[in-house]
Amino acid sequence: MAGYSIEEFEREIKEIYPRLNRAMTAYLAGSGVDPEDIIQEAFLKAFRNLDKFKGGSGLYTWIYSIARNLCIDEFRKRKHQQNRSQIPVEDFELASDIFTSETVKEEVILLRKAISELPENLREILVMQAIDEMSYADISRITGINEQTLKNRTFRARKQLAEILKKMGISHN
Amino acid sequence: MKKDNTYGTNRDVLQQKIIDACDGKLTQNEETTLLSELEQYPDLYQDYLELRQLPDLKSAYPAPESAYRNDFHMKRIHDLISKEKINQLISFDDVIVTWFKRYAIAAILLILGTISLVQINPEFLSNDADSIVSELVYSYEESIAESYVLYLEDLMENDD
Repeated sequence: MAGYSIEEFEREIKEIYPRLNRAMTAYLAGSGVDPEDIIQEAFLKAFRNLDKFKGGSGLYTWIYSIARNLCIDEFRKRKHQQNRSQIPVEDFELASDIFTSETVKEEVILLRKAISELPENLREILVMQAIDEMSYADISRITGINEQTLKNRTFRARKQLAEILKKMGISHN
Repeated sequence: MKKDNTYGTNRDVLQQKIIDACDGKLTQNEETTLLSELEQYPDLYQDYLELRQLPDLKSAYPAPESAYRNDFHMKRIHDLISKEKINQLISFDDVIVTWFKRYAIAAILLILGTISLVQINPEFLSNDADSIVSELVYSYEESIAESYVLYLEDLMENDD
């Protein structure tokens, strides 16, 4: 499969941006890293290296892996091991009023906070698999982890998330 | 209780199956089989129940939250790419100018070298008589050389 021309790449931004924005917002929630900075840098880096994209994986997967590497660099720079459970709930405030009910809004904020409290290696897989709905094959391409191990990590991530939500007093019976 | 070496492997496989069940990838029969397998692992069965009750995580991040905000940021990305294109063009011009300078210097050096050579040896470009004779005598074509020698002998005989 051939690579993308500059014009095709620019057209794809419209399709890729909203999805990448959602995934990066979830991945970076509570980290203090601005998802917009990462996304802009990822697109720019992808544009500069467009000739290196062979099309083996999808363009989205390729740009996602660039964005992920930028996040990892940023975490290293910031010695990113702060205790996320101490991040105030207000930091997960929603940017719009799409949630009409206050109860639902509150639950969504707590769910965001719970996801952000997961260890980085579990959170990133949960974000890719459950929020971004990426296939295990694509997640495997990005992370270099085999699909079976990814499923076991997803299990651990969901289990820990269930425990965090229980501690927060959220039950979904 | 199963052996230690298979216990870990079985647990891993069951965890993978639980995730498949949560993602709705198992058939009814496969899920029934999973539940019967989990009877041997009460802790995993408890996990299975808890994981099935988790909310849909996509609901935490519905997209797009703000179309206007998205448009603003996408425009910013397009602007950055446009700037990058201009920068790449400028870099291309720089390359052209650099190469032109390099070749211009080489061309000037070549011209100066040729002029110097002509000035040092003015006969460099002249066609003098000696060179014409040697060219005829030591010609690559033997017939030309032979006819020229005969011509010289005739001249000498005539002089005698």
